[in-house]
Amino acid sequence: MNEPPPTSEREARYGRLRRGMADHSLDALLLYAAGWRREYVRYVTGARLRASFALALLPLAGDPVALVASEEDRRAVEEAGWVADVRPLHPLRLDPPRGLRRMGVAHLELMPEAILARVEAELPGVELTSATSLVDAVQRVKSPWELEQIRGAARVCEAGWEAFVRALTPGVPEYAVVAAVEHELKRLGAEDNFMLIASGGREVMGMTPPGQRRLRVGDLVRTELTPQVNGYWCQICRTAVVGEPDAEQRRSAELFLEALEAGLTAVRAGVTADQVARAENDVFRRHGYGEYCTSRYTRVRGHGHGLHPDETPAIVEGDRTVLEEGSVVIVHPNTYTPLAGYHVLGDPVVVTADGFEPLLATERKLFQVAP
Amino acid sequence: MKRGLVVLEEWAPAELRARVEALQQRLAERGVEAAAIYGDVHRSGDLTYLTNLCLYWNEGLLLVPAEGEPTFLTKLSPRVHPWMRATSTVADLRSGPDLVRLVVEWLSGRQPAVLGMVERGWWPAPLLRSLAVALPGWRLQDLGPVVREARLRPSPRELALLRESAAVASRAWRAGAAGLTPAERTASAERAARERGVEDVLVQASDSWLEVVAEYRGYWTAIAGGLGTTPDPAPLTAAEARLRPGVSRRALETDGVSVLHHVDLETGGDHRPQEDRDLPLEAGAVVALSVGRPGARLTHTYLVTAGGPERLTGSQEGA
Repeated sequence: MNEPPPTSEREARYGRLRRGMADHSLDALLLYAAGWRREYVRYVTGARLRASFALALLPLAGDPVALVASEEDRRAVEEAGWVADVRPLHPLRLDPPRGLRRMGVAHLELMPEAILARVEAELPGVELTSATSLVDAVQRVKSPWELEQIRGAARVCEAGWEAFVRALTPGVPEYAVVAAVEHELKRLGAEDNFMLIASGGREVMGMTPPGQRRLRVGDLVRTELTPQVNGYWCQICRTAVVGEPDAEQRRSAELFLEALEAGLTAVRAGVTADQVARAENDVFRRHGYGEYCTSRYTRVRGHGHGLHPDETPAIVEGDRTVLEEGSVVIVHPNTYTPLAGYHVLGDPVVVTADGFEPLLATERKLFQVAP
Repeated sequence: MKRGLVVLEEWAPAELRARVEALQQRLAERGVEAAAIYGDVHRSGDLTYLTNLCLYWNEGLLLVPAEGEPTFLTKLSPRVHPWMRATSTVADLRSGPDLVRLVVEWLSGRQPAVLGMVERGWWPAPLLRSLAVALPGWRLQDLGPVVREARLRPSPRELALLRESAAVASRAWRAGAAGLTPAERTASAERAARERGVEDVLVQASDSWLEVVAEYRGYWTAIAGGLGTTPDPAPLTAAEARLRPGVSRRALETDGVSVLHHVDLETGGDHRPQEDRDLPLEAGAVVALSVGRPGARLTHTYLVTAGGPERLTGSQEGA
C-alpha cells in the first residue's frame, strides 16, 4: 500500500514551498522530523521514515538534501527517488547553499537541543526562524494525488468503523474492541492508526486509550479512529449504543447530528475555521448546552488532516484561518453533555468552492448493536 | 501508536514510589531542587517508569521535587486528568498549551536554585532556551540519563513484566507468521498482541520476514525472523555465547550483530548515549540481539545472567 508519490507531485510541492520561502524572504528551508511528527520530511522526500530524527534541506534554488539517522531510512529515501543527496544525520554536514543568510526551520519548536546546536554551529551568521506555520499553510491544500490517497484512507476508515461495531458485544473489554479494529485496519494496509475510545454512560467525560472495562447493555461506546494509509490519515467519529437507546441517548444523538450538519453546511472555500465552529456551537447554545463548548469541556470542533492526523486549522471559535479549496477538514462537535455523557460524531470532508465533498459514506447516526 | 491497554497494577504504587524516592535521593545528593523529565508520544519510557503515565499524544513534562510528590504538566486537555489519575501514581496534573508557563507557575514561591534537566540534549531547544529566560536565577543543570540508568537494572517485578512482554511478542510473531500476505501478517500479529493487553506494538512484515516489538505494561521486547528462509543464525548464536555480565556492547557488536537494551527498544536505540557502548552489561539486564539488515534481521530478547543468556522470546518454529 506504500506507493511513492509521482515525480509531478514533487515538483508541485517544491514549487509551493519555494513560493512560500520567497514570500517570507527565506533562502532555504530546513524541515525537521521528530518521531511523532514526520510529516514535513515525508512531504519533501516522499519517503516513509521510521527513526526518531531526520532532516531535509530545501534551498530556494538547487537540489534538496536528506539527512537520516538510520540505514533503513536512507534506503527509504533512496527508494522514493525524490532526493538524490542522502547523508547521515551524525555527523551533521549541511553544506549550506552559497549566500545563505536566512533559513526557515519547520518544526523548530520540536528540534532537540543536541541537533539545533549542531545546525547553528554549521551555519554561523545564518538567521534561523520558525517556518512551521509556512509549511502548515502549504500542506493545507492537497493536490489531486493527495486527495486520492485520503479517499483511499477514508475507505479503510469506514471498514474500521464496521469492524468496531461488529466487536461491540456485552462482556467484551474495551481493549479487545481496539484489537479487532486494528486487525481490520492493518489487514487493509494501514500503516498506523490513532484511536481513542470510551464506553459507559453519562459519567463519561472524554475518550482515552482503552481500559479493561467490559461493555454492558445500555452503554454508549464512542470512538475516533484514524487510519494512516500511504502516509495520509483520515478520521471518523461515531457513537454506538449496546442495546436499545434510552430517550436521552436519542436526544443526544439528535443534538450532535444537528450540530454536525450545521458545521458541514457552513463549510466552503473562503469561510474561516471560526465560522464553522460557531455554526456547530450555535446549535448547542440554542438548545441550552452552550457551556459544553467551552474550554472546561471541549472547544475544538474539528481540524485538518493529511500527512498528520491533526493538522491546521483547528476548527475552533476565534481561529481566523480561511478554508481553501482542496483542503481537508473533519467537522466534529464532540463534547460532553449531561444528556448522555461524552458523545462523538464527525465526518471528514474536502473543501470545495461552493461546499464540500464528503469522504465517508458511513451513516451519520447513533448506531445500535443487538446485545 | 499507544492505543492499547493501560493498567496500573495493584502492586505498582509502592514500587513506583520507591523509584521516585531513589531519584529524589540522587537529587538531594546533587543539591538539585527538582528534576524535569521531558516526554512525548514517541518517547515516554522514563515517565512510565516513574509514574505509569501513558502519554498517548502530544508532549509533557514530569517534575519531581527533591521532596514531595511529582507533578505532570501536559498539553493534553484537563478532561483526561481523571483517566491519568486512575492509571498512574500522579495526583497533581496541570494542563496548558505553554509548558514554560506551567513550569514557571509550578516553581513560583521557591527560591531560585538548581533545576535538573534529564537528558537535556534531547529536550526541544526552544522549550529549553525559553525556560532559561523565564527562570532568572535558576541554574538549569543537565542530569544526563539518570532515569535511564535506573531502568537498566530491572527489579523482580519488572523482570516478570519483561517475561510476559516477551511471551506476548512471541505469540504475536507466531500468529503473524501464519498470514499469507504482509498485510495479513501485520494484522494477525497486531491482534494477537493487543488481545493480550499490550500498550503498544510495532510490527513490520514483508513477503519473507516478520518483526514484532511489543510494549507490555511499559516493558519492551522484540522478536524478528524469516518465514521459510531464515537469516543465517550463526552470528546470533555466536553473540549469544558471548552474552555474559561484564561484556560491552562494543565487544558484542561484531559480524553484523547489534545490541539494544530493553529501555531503548521504544525508539530503536536512537537516544542511547554513545558512551553506553563501552559500559559492561550487568547481570539482570534484558537486551535484544539482532543480526542481519533491516527487513531481514533475526532478533531475540535475552536476560543476561552469570550462567549465560536466557532467551525470553520463544522459538520461531511453527511459522
